[in-house]
Amino acid sequence: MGLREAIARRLLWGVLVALGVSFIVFLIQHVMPGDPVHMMLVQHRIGAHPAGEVYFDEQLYQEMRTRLGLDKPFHVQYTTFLSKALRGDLGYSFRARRTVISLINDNLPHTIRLAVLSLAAAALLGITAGVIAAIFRDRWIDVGVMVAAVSGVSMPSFWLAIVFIWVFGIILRWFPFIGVGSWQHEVLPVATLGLGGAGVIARLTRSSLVEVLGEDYIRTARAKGLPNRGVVFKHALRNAMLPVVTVIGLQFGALLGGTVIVETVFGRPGIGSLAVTAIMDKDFPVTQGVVLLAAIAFVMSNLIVDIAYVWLDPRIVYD
Amino acid sequence: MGVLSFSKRLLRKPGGAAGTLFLSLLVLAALLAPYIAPYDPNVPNPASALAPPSRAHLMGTDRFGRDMFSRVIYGGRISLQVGIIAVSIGAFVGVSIGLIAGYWGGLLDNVLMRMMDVMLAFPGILLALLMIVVLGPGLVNIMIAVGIAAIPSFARLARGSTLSVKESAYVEAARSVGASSLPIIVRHILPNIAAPLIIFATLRVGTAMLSAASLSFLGLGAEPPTPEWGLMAAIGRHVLRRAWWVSIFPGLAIALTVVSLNLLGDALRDILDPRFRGLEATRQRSV
Amino acid sequence: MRKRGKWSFVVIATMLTLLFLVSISGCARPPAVVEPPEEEPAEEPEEEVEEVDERFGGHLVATKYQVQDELDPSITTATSTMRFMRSVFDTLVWMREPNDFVPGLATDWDHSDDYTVWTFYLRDDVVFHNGDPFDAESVAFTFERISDPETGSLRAAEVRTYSHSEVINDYTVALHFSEPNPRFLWTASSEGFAPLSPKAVEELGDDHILYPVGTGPFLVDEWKDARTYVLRRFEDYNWAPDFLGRQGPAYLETLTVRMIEEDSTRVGGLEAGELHYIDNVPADDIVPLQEMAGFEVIQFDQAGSGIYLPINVTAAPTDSLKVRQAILYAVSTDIINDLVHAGLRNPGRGPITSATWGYCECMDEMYLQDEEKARALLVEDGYAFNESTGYFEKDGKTLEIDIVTSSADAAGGESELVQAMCEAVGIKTNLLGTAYEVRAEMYANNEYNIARFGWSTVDTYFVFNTAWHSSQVDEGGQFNRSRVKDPHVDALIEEAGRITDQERLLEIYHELQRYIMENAFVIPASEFVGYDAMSDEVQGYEVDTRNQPYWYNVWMR
Repeated sequence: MGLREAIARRLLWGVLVALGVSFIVFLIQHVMPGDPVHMMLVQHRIGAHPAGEVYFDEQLYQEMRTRLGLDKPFHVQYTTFLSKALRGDLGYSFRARRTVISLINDNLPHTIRLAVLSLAAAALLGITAGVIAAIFRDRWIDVGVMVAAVSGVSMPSFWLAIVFIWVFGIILRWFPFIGVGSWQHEVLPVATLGLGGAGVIARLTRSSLVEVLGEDYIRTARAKGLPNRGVVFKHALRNAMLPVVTVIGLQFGALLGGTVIVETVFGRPGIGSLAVTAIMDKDFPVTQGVVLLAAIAFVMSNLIVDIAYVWLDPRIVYD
Repeated sequence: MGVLSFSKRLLRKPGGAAGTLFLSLLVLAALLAPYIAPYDPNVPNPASALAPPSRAHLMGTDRFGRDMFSRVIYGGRISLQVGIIAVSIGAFVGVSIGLIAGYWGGLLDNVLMRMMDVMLAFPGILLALLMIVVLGPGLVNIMIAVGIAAIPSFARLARGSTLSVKESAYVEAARSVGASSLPIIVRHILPNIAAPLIIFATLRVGTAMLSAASLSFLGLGAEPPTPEWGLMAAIGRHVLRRAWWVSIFPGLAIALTVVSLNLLGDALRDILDPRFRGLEATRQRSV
Repeated sequence: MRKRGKWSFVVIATMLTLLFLVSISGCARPPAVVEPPEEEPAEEPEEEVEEVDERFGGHLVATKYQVQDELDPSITTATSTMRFMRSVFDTLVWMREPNDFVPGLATDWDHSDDYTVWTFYLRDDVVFHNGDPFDAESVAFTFERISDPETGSLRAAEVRTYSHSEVINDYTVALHFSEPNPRFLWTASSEGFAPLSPKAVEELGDDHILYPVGTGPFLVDEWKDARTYVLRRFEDYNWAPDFLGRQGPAYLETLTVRMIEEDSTRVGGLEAGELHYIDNVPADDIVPLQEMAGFEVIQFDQAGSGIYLPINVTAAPTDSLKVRQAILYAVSTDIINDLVHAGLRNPGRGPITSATWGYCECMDEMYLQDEEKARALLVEDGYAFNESTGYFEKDGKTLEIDIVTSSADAAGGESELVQAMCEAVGIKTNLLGTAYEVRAEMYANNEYNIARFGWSTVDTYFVFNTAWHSSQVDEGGQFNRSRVKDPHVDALIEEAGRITDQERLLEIYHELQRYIMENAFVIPASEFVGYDAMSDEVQGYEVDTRNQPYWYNVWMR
């Protein structure tokens, strides 16, 4: 099968995945306890100082339900959503009174910037650590570097973020940490997420490089008397990069998940914090929109990784 | 490979030895918590609130005057439980699906794996969040939510391994003499795909602990005063600038445990399945 | 050849992704119609002027702990947003104290004898932020818009009886109601009913929710990102109410609002100097911030009901007055305050908090904990103490009550302590912590002895009417959880809704509190208190009776 058809098939498949995801989200929201309209009329009013429960008006409650289409049966709500979504209309946010598209539009660039920068940081840190560890394989320096690399991914990201804020934001005052605004604002969130991604990349770089270093042509090159360093960088690294590229691409998806926490802690705009707020507020259309977006991003990044794979390694036949 | 030689090889690796050592200590401490912990982890003692680390309180006390060392020790019980049970749920369901899909193939395979694709397309944390909102917070529900989020990766891994083992000579042989499917799966396939699954499960316990911690941070995890590490680290952040020990020690406990699990996993891989080079990471989503 | 082929596929894939991203971000937000003010600030020092007022020109960064980017006060209600919108929207009248109204955009007002027509005489020198003149039409437009179901306003219920507006001339407008509305000035003084620019609403469409246009001292200038908006002072502003003591533009040049949910980040940002004002300070940080130099913690005692636990008078055994009184003597609200709220709040004393207008000091010492008295009351009521069970009983039946409370609520500590205290005098007490839906069911089915209620409002009448009128037992929001259907109570509440005479209102509210507590209809638990904090650079900070800051007079040192 040609690559073109394969891509077409994958894209079609992506549409089906998106459909499935949207159905599951819809279903979960339908069985979820709590009533979004009640949230709006009661919880929403609680404002700056928690006040338990407040009075609400029955007539207004019914009007809002009708307005949001929540009085209709499940299948009607779902088919309405689908038919609109297919035309690129993700509906209106219950709470914000704006289109879901415009909310995503306002938040997505910040998440993409954060994810791209974090991925770059993770790749830089991870590949460096992996190469060092592979060169000094099974020596103490190997274990030390790998433990350091893995420790980033082993800490809860909210905790790492809070410790960074405490040390570099409040005590040392090196970097601002509230929201976005300048490149300095990006440092601590990128460090938090980047350290998390670096561990996976470092491990893969190391094991991949160790394997490649053991292969015949490298031994041959060494036997020919090429200086060690040159060998590592010219031949081995290039060949070892194949799985690493894959994992970097797929880390992009994982990073999008990581932004949920990091954006919340740093008070940043973004898709992750938008999702958390929407889930907590029971803002169904926004939750659906964000999850759909994440699913499409996942399918796309998989597709791109697969294509990159074929491109990097001519031996792979795509099917 | 005998148990003895296996342990020898594991302990000869620096990472394997360190990981095994720390985890053994942790499990031991968790099991013997009532004997090791100097205080009751849940009884407040306002007189010694937010005391810094000292002889009496190795890791200080929290804002209710509860001994942090005791809470961290008891917390090991809970956090390990959460990690292991969640992964068991994910592994049991996921491996079953993977085995079925891989062994029978065809339409069933297609349908099951496409379902797994859909689940995988959810960012894990959002899926867990949605599940918790439906189920309500609490330890058991975290285990279920985090476990469900782990199903698709286990299913994929099990299916892939099953496919390669299925074609092997001994399975073919068993089939040709008319053995029925279930015994073939249990006796021939499962043992042969166990290695990568065990390695993956080891690593995944760490991920599950981290996911549980993140849920606690979002206020959807364990309920106070449960001494769950993630919750302790999350609640401690409110007093971080006055009493760093309340958040730092539970956070370090998580980090050390997950690092150990990773080291152990890597060492296991080197011994059990040298070809299985961390590709599990390619489809893994952590928080 | 093969190489080019591979490239093109990568390019195609990348393009597809980009296409997707572009398609979802297709509709860019139109620029704010609100023009930034002229590039010459009024405080620009000129040669002739001898004194430069140092108060002008500051930039303040404040937080909002909830992420809600909808600003239009006609539609949404979130209090944490309205604390800023109060300075973007001037109202027809201002409320200085509960029931005390002074001129705002209306210089004068009157009403028909039956309170169904309210006439406002408006200022003729006011313009909206977009330059549109403020007039009677804009007032009429605002009320029409809120009551139109198409708008979907969360405030629609508050003007349910509004029928139509009559524009008498450019600066006189009469609002007609289908029923008497003696309390309309309360409504008119809320930023939710502040006049909007009809032109801005029409031109901005969906974006009005982000860039609402009013006549206040600040205008919504810019959204820096999805969580940050900037209010800029309105240079033409010259119609401040008299009590603010001056005219002209606000001192602050900009007031930036950042939405930050994470408590520790807000407090950290204040300490690090990135933020000047933070809202909703978590309990743990109050004392440290008070002790730290350079910061000030602001405490808001909230008017309203506080948190109280209504006792069901229709379910046995709490249908007996003596049992209810015994429960009240068993409970110490001082201990609740100390243990649940670290002694920071005022202990609850009655059906309204001590910060509420009309609070009766007679509540202060009405029920102080007295376990002996509690037991004596039970004995008087025919109960006998059973040594073996540790509980009182009558006719072989143990004295047993059910408390319904919220499981998710961290503040549920009140009910836990009430349980412990009732148990201590010998009343078997079951605590049923449940989700809201289940609770609502139990309330509706009358399956409880003690419930939970809390409501913050400066309007004393609303508290009584919502939580104590007999019509709220089975209908409405069903917030009369004591299930009291008492003609005396109803009559007093109805009278309070009809009159505006301050002294008579005080009499009524005092009588209601006394009557409710003498009959032991509620266990008062604790009062609501909120905390904000600011750096000492912030000067001139003051709040109104609804705890909303007057940002107009705030300046930066």
